[in-house]
Amino acid sequence: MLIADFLFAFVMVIGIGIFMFALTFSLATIEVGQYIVWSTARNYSAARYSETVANSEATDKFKALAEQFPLLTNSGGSSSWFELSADDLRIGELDTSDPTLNISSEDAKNNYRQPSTGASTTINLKLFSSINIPFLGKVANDKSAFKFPVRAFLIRNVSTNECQSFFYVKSNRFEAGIMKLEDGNLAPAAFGITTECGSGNGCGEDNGC
Amino acid sequence: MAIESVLLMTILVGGFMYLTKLIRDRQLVSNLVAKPIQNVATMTAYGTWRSDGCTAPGKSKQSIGKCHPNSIARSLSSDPDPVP
Repeated sequence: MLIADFLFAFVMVIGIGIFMFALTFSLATIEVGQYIVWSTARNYSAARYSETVANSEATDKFKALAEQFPLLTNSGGSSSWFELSADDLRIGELDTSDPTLNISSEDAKNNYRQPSTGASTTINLKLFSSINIPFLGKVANDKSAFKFPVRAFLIRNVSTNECQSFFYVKSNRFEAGIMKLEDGNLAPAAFGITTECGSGNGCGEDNGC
Repeated sequence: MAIESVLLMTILVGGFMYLTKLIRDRQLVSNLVAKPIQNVATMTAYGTWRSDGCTAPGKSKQSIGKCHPNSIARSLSSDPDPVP
């Protein structure tokens, strides 16, 4: 009688204990994964020299953070519990680079007002999906359901070269706008732009950025 | 007394084995987990618990890729409809 009680209690406690451990650990790992992806998007958002540089810096940020949590990210192939994929990492305009974002063609028309700029990767809950609870069976029939995207969106700030291009190239802000203003003159001599406004007549400060 | 104990233990163990086999055969654990995991996946991927897109009051329905609060809150406009 005691054996039966003990068997039942032991199986239930161990089984549910394993289940709860994997569940809570997986949810905590998802939070860490979301932080890493958000931090990657935040790094990409910062004003760099160019978009290419911002993309490179954000990728480095992702790798640096992933290396801090090898158990949760499988950085270096050292974890069989979780994986935050560096191969699936996408940074930039996710509506074009991330095929699973599921934006309809109609909604894609307003990308210029609601841009899908940010970072995306996939997280794989290998620990949770591979659990087989004694007597109660597998947690996952379809392990692919335990691998899903993690995304974070942040609009990228204007880069240095975009700002300079916007400001100094002809038929843009400077030529079409600021140069015509009474107090508008900031173009350095290096750009070969002459204006109606000399340095001695009270030119205003506006670098366009 | 001993025979009764053995009989009772047999019945309990048998019942336990039958129930656990039923749980395994009907995949109750995986069915129990499937929907919550799908919800969590939708939340991490699209920032919403809903899987059928989102709708602002008085606006047309948006596909799920446009529902992420990061994207909406930091957009150039909170109006999801394109400018005509």
